Amino acid sequence: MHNRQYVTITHYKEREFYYLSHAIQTDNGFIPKEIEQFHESEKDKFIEHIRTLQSEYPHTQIVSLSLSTNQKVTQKEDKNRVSAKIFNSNFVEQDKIDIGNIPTTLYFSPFAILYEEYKDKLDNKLTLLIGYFDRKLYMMFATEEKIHQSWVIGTRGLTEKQIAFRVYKSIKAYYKMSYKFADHIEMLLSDDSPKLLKVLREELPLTILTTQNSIHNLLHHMAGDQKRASSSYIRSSISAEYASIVNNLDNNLAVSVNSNSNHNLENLRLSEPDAIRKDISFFDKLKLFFGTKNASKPRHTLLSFIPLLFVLGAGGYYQLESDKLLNNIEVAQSQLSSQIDNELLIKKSKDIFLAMGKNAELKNGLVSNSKIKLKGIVWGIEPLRESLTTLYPKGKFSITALENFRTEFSFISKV
Amino acid sequence: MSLKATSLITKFILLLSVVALFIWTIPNIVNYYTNLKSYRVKEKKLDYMYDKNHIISKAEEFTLDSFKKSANAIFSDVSIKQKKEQEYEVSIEVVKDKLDSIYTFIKTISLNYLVTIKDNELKFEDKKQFIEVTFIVEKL
Repeated sequence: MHNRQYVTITHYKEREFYYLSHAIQTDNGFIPKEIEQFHESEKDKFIEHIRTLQSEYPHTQIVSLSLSTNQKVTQKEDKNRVSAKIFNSNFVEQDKIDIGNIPTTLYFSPFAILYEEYKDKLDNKLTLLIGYFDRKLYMMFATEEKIHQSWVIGTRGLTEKQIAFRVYKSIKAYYKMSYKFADHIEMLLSDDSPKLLKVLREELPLTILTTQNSIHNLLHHMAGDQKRASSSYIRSSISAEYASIVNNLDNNLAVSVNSNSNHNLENLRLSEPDAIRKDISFFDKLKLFFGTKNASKPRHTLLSFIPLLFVLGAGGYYQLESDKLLNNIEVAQSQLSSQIDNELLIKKSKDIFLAMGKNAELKNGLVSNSKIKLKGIVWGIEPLRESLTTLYPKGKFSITALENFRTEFSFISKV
Repeated sequence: MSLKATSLITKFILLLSVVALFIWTIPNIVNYYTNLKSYRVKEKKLDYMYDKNHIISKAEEFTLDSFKKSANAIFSDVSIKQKKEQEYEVSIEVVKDKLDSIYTFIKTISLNYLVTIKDNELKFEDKKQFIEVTFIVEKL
């Protein structure tokens, strides 16, 4: 009898513990067995236990829950990401299936569980569905037609009031996009969280209806029916040939041992690296560029650009300012030199006119800081010669007699 | 974040930052403050000259219109011709015994306008009761 039973083995990891359960599936629902807890240091023991259960019940599905925060609900399937169809026109997607080396055949998203839980309640009014799993809020705005928007909010380290504020922010953000407020909130809780519920009810302007169920029970339910499981488990779109892992899944315990061992996510994992290479994102390329597989290292590398940018920015700023100052200095220096030269030029001109006095009359002349050239009519030759040669001893003074008994003088000197 | 645990490229970028800081940024900062000091000294000297010549406002950019306007306000016969792109020939006629007014004008020309007198040269020509003084101003 034992061998003909269809058993669902469920497991998930919350913080540092693995939780394991199994349930016998019957036509009238499932009969859950005990839940076991393993510390992450006992991972081998935990896997061994799954293997034992598998050997005990040959017709099994090993079911787990994706608690990744990078999941989102989309309207269109992205063939390059792993996805699950959860509505007629919606897909829940995440970057990759990350189950480590833990045996898993069916992998569900909290969004799929939420949809399964509330699909019959949805109508044309907008409902905010919230799943609270592993201290994360999986939120989606849905009507009977489709899921309009989804968010995942991590709540670790936040107070209940801060969580409520984030939910409110999401409601507001959705209102900004669609000008629609949710009619009410349906909340599926995997843990008893009375304080959070109380604060949410106080802080949010919407009615909150709650349902509580354990993750194990939800997973047993999801995997308990072929149609349900096959329509919403997370497929790896890496390979179409694996697209129907549970095609052979049967409520009447018709799952063959072969299909169970060949078509599971463990096998998919083995074929992942090639595919993931194809699905590589820009950020992954950036990571590869920096030559590390450690996710935090590229972040460090990017952060290390901050001091470099700061140093270059400061250097550039001071260089520009310095160049401006140099230009100003040049202008100021030219102005100073010009002023000194102008003063000297005026002094020379004054001295020359003073030296000529009443003894001569200038006809034309050139006065500069480097040379003097004068030409005019002279009346007192000797006094003029004397005063000009006193000013410029090396100057050349000459006179020319004119026809009308006048005398012309010229004086040339270098300064 | 331990430096040991960081990748080679991170270490390289940090090293580059330190090198750039010492060979480029700090010299630029030092250069800036040296230039600033030098500029302030020159400004102080200029301020002294402004005070000495009783000029309140700082020198303005030379434009033909504004220069003509201020020269015409002092002298009755002023002609300004553009010689080159940055050079203008200025001719001013004054009564012979009023040469002092032209001296004051020329003496302070570089404190009123950002110009210099080309070759520091003045040409004088006798025009009976008047004397014509010609010089070329060059924009700074």
